[in-house]
Amino acid sequence: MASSSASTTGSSTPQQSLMSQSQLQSQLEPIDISSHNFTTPSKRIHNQQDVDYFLTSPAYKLITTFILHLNASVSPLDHSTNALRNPAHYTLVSETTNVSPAVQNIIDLIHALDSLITQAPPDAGPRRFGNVAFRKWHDLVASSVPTLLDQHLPPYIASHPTAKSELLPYLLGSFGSAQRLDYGTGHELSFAAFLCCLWVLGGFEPGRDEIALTLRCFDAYFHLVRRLVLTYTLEPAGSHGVWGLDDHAFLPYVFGSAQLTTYPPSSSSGEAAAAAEVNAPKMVDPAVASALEDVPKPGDVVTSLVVERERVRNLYFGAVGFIYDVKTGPFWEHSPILYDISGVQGGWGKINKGMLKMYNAEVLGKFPVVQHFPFGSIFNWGAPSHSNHNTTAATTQHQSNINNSNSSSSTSRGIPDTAAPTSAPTTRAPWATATNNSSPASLSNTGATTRAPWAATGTPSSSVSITTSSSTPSTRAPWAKPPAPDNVMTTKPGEQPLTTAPWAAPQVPLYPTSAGMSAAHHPPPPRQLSGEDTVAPWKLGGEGGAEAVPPPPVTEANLGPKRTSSPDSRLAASLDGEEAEKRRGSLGTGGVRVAETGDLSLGRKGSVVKGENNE
Amino acid sequence: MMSDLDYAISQLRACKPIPEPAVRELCYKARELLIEESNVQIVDAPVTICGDIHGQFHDLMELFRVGGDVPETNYLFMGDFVDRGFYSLESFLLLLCLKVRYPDRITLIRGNHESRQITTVYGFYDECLRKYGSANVWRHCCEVFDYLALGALVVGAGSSISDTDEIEVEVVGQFGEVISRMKRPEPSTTATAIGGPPGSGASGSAAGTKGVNNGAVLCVHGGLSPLVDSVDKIRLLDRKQEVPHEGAMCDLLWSDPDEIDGWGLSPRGAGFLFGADIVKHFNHINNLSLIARAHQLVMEGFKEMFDSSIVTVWSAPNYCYRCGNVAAILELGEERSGAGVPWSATDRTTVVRPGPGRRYRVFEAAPQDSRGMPAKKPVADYFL
Repeated sequence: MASSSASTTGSSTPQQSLMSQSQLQSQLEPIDISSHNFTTPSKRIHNQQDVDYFLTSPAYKLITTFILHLNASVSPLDHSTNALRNPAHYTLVSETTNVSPAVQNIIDLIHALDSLITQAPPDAGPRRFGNVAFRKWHDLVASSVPTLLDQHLPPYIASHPTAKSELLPYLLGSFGSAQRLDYGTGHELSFAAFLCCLWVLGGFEPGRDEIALTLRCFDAYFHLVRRLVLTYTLEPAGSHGVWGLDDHAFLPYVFGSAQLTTYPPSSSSGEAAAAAEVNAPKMVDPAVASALEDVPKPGDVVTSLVVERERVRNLYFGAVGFIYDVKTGPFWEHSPILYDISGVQGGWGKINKGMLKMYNAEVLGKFPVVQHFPFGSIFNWGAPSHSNHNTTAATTQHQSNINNSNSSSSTSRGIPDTAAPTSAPTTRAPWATATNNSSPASLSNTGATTRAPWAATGTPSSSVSITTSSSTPSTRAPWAKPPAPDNVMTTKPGEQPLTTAPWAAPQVPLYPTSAGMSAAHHPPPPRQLSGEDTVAPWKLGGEGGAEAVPPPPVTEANLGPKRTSSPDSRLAASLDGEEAEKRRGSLGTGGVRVAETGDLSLGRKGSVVKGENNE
Repeated sequence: MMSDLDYAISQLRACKPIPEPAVRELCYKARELLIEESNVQIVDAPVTICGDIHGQFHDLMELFRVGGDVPETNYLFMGDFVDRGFYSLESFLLLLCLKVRYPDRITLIRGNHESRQITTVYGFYDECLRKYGSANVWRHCCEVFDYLALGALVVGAGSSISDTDEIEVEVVGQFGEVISRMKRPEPSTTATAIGGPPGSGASGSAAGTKGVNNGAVLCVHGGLSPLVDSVDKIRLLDRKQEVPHEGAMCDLLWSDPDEIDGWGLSPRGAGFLFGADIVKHFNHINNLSLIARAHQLVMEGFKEMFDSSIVTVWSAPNYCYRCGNVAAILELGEERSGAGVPWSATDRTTVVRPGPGRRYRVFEAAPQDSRGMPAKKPVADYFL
């Protein structure tokens, strides 16, 4: 994902993608609410190119800066000085945590939403999986949130005529999809965005509120979400089964690993021990030394007793504990990715850094996840809504290759080229063009052809009529919200959980599907649709695009943990010519961006995330 | 001496992957075999019909324990062997081995997850990489996927699952205990709604059909397509390709029945929703008594809909380690009385084809014995 999402910096140097310290600071600088023009956030991401653009947008910078800032704030290891602070002050229950009224207000808001669950008890009737009573809870939230915001936001925000309408969609998008009865990392991102909005509106105090926001407020949110998941048996949005990091959550693993970071990332246990040694003399405080011994090891996630102990203290273990609650069977079997990570030798700092990179690639860089993230004046799209502009030229070229093959294969099957929507208000499958948003679809069946009826731009005809309460074949991202309130696809309770078609978004169709094509000629899968986690880097080498050329075999040698070159450089090196150039550029954005900024947050070259010094 | 194939079977039954060259050889043989099959394989009853497996290998073993082993029991698997579970590879390769070893005793049809694109997203690709360090095995398997049949037609199913009584529906637990039985209503019975087997936990979902049996049972992973009005239309498709994003082949693997009239758009983004009228009309003009399909989790393992004209069979218990559902397989017996009339696509003398006798065996997830703890694998590049 990282590389395909990529790209904008095809011609820029890696340094350009680094945010300077001042940029980092300015990103989180409060805006003047009195003179600010708020807008109601709207959808901007309609396809993969838009995701590529998003990764260069001011909005992307803002959300990553915010997450990195919180991440650095809850790490016992001061990233700017490498000084070790008392790990005991960075647990979920640390009494030293200063919960200001501003943060407490948001926690109270979450508790208020939590208490609405009692007003929407799960339906007892027959159902397949997800419980429809979740929709009632969602309705209750939607109707009570305006009042709750008045009660719990700072008055200067709550009383502002237009600020709330910009905040609202982020909060309402934080709790799963009422339509599909599911929840995933896109909703989690929405909550982070809500807090981030409040941050830039000056709702919190830098240097004071970071720890409480991360370890108290987010924790309250995670607890609410878990209760929702359990109460209404919410399906993981886009479940990858055992091959995802987690069915529902990601940020607890980011912040939770930060909470446990006590020495800089190292690549081997030897280095880790050495790092610990180096740190040791600094620990004059015996309390710190003692607390250090209480820090769980990465391998402890497989020990249920330790998980039980640590889940109340740490976000990472809290998330793992929830997995233990809901899953039966061996941990290594139902959670192999987390199991493998538990064997990382470089310590929690290493894991934290990896989580940040993975979050960038697998959440922020994934079309299905971010497609419904709305953009307004705070999360600023920063450019015309469509992606055909200069900054995405590199990717667009790459993408258009795929698009061309798509359209040509489509054309060969009789779909008019005009079928591809370019500015549809909702994200739709590229072939799902006949239906418009408003009118009930009644589509002609084209009979002898193998086209799906909705691919026709035809007028209603008699042979097959498609009746649906929703005329929009909306995007399948499981957390996707209905495109418009009056256009909600009525999803029966029985429809979850289901496998959604990855191409159901105008994501790039992966394979030529023209009839008669021999199996041997299918190109290897492009990376856009790679699984939630480990896939992407490995598949890079296979994404040549040329048919009949199998991807170079990935061997143990280049997968092995001892490799010294970075994955990106290896992958780039395995390509040649123009493609390689594109890749390197693309990797510079998708793969490296957060890695680089992650380095920043880890204190490289004295770069400091703002707020850190206030500690 | 044990043949390579039998050795592979014994390895896979022990949940051990077989070497890459053996996979290549197996997949080659399987393709040779499958290429000869029709898009809609004709299968003679008795047969045991199974739904999604999703890499739940230990539960597949439980299925064989409950339903009988191959080749003693004749099986029909309706696809979705791979993705999501931890053992997609072992599960699919074992089924494939059994197919090559006993081609007339096991039928495999394609599910929407038997696809390059889907397996890249939902886990099978990752699994192959993890277990072999390369995508070669995944590639071999995907080539087999392209040759899997799109459906099957079960013919010669008996009207009762019992020798003595006219039992139409029986639900049996995993230890063979009868949970519920429902006699076939008298032919004179009017078409009023009939309750499900009491105590079956099947939430009244087995409604029963009236009259005597003759129609065939169409088995398909997802459901119907607006582009397919007859079984013969399925036979005309060129199936040897990646599952398309649209069209008849796509719909057969992606569609879902729903409580609607006619056709509806699927929330999945592929295939359609189709209502009772669609199913009844299709069954009537194709002389079918039942459509068996999989594709959707049902907490009780099976769910009959639309006056028992279609049934969902789900064979992955405690799906994804957390759904808490039971699994089911559907046994169709052979016609014992000799009164059965061979299936004919053109004989439409009866308005509503009565369903065959159906025995649902319901089972839970395999007990979690000490499956051992494997070595941790190298993590993804993010963590290097």
